[in-house]
Amino acid sequence: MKLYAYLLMAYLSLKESLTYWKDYLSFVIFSVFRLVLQLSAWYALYSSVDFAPVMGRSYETMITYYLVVQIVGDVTSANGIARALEQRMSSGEIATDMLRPAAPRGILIARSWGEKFYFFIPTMVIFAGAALVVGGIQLPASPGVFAAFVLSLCLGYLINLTFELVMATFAFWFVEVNTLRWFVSFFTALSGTAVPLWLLPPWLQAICRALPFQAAAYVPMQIYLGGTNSAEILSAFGTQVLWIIGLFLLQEWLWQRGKRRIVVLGG
Amino acid sequence: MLSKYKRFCHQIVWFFQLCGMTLSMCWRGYISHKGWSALIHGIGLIVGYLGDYAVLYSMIMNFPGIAGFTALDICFLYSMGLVCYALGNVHTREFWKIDDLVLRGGLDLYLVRPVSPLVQMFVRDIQVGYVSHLILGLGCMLMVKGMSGIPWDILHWGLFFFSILAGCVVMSGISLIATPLSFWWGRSQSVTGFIRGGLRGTLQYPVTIYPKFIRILVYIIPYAFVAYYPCLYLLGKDTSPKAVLYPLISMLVGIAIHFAFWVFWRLGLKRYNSAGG
Repeated sequence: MKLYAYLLMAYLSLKESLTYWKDYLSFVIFSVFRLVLQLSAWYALYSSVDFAPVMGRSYETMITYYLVVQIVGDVTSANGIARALEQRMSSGEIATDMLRPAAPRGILIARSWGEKFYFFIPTMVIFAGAALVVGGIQLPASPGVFAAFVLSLCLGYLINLTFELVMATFAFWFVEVNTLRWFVSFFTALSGTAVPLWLLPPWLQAICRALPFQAAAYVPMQIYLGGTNSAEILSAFGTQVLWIIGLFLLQEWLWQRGKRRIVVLGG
Repeated sequence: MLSKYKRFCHQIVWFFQLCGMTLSMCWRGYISHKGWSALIHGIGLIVGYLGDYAVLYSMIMNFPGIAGFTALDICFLYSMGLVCYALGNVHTREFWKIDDLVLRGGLDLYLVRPVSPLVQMFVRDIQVGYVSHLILGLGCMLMVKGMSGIPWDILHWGLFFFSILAGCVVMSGISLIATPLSFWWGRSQSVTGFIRGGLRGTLQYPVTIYPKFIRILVYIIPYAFVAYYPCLYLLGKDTSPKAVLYPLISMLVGIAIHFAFWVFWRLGLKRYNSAGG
């Protein structure tokens, strides 16, 4: 029954987003532009070396990486939950959320699913279309690799979700969660969604590997491109699960402490 | 004739006094609302943008360059874009809310006062939070200048400051140009957002790398004149005498786009019907 309620909330959130169809159209045009700009940059960079491999990766691998990682980024993204909680805290709506029979975090997650589909559908279409137009895109080596990639994506989503919930709980202490996001965005920019980790200097790679963000984007991409054997894939899953458990426990602890701080004024 | 000239000068002085007063009010409002959070937010912005620099630099340093521009040159272009974006949008934030002002009748408030609504909107919401962009952008440009080893003479320094000024004027015009669409469409957020945000990505790379349709677009919506052309001489990519004139051309483009905005605004204002009661 509860699951049905959450799915309904996700559906309503998607419907609400789709009402503003001009914004939707604008998002689609944005995405196409972003794609063309970035592909032009990679093309210009590789043409400077006559399309020879760089750091052992060919131009085709790079384009495959860029196109697939955009879909990975969209699938694993859980953005918006912290912002939503911040708004509900400042408007006082959190009080009514607490009184509802559904869990407040569940409501926030369900609503983020609706928005996720809103962004995911055009991204899939655009990037799949681009893959067909550009051509030469590498597919996973085997169905097994593809299955491992999909599982890794799901775990990547859970990492981002639990991290987003950790960020959201800071709304109990700070007026603006956005401030913290700017600090974190340094590392999220280096999660592998903008540029593959193999292009970073070794010291920066070491820092990135010690953080959860690359486990959500770069690890699935490594599995997709086939740069890992079975043992490494299992080890990658283990790392992802450990991050999920750690972040889940942290957000639970912060949530329990934070909700005691809620003070809502007015009738 | 003399009295007309005096009146014009008086208006200019008054406008800048108004800007100064609003700036002071906005600054005090920002600090008293956010307190220490303002400082932390500013540092956070710098840290966040450093991530973008790290991505850009790491991406390009593995290659000989991009269309003849090195990783450092690209950082310079990006910084120029950042500084111009910040300075060029200090006064445009009120126009970003034009949809609501038109649809809810909030524009009436500006129309009933004995001062041009444009002037009021320019000084209504001056953004002081862009200081971080300025510190980071200028700091990086000066750092790149030091690392690139190109000796700058007085002409370079003059062009550097003039290029920033011209880039800001162009950027401000770009942010404003589509906002009067709200008078016809009700909501123009999608178009203005696309012009302001979607095309902003073109600032960081040389325009020559893009396909023809994007190159044409960045001349129509003149992003090419914000960073790319003004920086050619400064980065030593084009040392011909005509390259010295690029910042001046940018300034003319900036003035032209503001003029187009003014005409567009006046046409739109004639169509405006108050929505309020």
